[in-house]
Amino acid sequence: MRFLTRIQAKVGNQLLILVHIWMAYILLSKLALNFSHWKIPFISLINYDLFFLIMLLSLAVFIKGENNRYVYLNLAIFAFGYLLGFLTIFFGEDYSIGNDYLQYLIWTYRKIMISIITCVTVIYIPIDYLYHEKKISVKYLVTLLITVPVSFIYFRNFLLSYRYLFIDNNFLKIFSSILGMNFLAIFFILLYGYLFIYRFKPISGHVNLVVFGFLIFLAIDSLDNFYNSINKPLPPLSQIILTVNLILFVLMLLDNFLYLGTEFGKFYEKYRFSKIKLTIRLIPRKTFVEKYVIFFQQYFKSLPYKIMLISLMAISLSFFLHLYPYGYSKLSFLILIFLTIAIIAYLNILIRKRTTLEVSKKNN
Amino acid sequence: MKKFRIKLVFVTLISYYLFTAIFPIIELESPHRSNDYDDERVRINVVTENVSKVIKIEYNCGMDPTPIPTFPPNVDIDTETLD
Repeated sequence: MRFLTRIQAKVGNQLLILVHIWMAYILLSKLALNFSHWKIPFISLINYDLFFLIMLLSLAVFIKGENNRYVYLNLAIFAFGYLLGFLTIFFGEDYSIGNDYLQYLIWTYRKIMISIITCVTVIYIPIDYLYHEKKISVKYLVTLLITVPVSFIYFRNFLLSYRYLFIDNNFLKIFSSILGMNFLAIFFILLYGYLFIYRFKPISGHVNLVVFGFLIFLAIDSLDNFYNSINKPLPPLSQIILTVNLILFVLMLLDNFLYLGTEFGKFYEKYRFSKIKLTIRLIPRKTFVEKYVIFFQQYFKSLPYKIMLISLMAISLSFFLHLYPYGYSKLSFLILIFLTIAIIAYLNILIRKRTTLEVSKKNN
Repeated sequence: MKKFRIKLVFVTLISYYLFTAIFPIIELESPHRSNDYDDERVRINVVTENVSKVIKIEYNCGMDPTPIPTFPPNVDIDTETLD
């Protein structure tokens, strides 16, 4: 019991309420599965539950936070869009509600909707960073001005006539269109990375982790959509990657939620956006990622370590490339490996740039 | 009072977990009516020689947990009935 009180004192009642709502959702969704529905793998059900938790946590962060809070509202809408898929599984002639046409139409138009929402969620982040002093309505307007025309170009046939879906193999064009939308979002993530190195504008600490999560999400989603667009069957591997990705999102949101609740968090967020003027000089808090990159940098300093680690990595990668059969899973693993290498290289450049700038500032 | 509240939280959490553990077991026996040929509806369809409307659902769902219903290129969907 003492353990529980300690937890309650640490996380507060608000988080316990959120956990209760989540548990209630899990219970209700499992009850709903007693109606006749499509057969879906168990891991998909876990992913739905995680999407609901992400929605709850990001709404809580949106209400509690001060800076870049609309990023979390978008994240909540994104999670809700994916969660609506849970209703789709009850549609169909042989199932609980509706008929087969309705099943196809709902599946397709939901897919188009979530593709647009994902794009808006991602594109809003660099726009928010670039025009951080502008009004929120202006930021949304710019985001929609970029997203809506592109999405109309990609999905125009489906939006102008729903019959288009049922003619020949037209449904495959949904996947290639979503692939195009994903590339647009990835382009804006790269733009954000570029801006973050060269422009010094304040941004809430956890937003970078949101961007990182979306990068993995979009990369794997693009690969899946590519294989789907050429009508190849896939193993449900991406669902496992999705679960890990969603757990990352949950941990990040949980950390943000607890950080915003503390006195230090409130003070530091105001200081970061210069809402408090201080006469003393504050040393910026090192983030979790920064600490680890510096730790690895120190390891890499000595030459034997460098040679050994790089040669081991090269050998294991070459074995993997040589022995593992070529196909979808190999490509997805390769994407993950190269993303990790790219992100480590990017962080290396970023930290070097920031530290040299600080040194030059001190000298001046 | 405080102790009672904490107990309440503890008991509800445990009961939620138990429920969520029990319901998937019940769910296994629930009627899944999908692409299985044992299904009653499908058997009726076989009799009426109208099997083509049976829809298979695939699991290659990408980063979306919702599976893809296999689009029926061989099924002639009468688009006029949609109206």
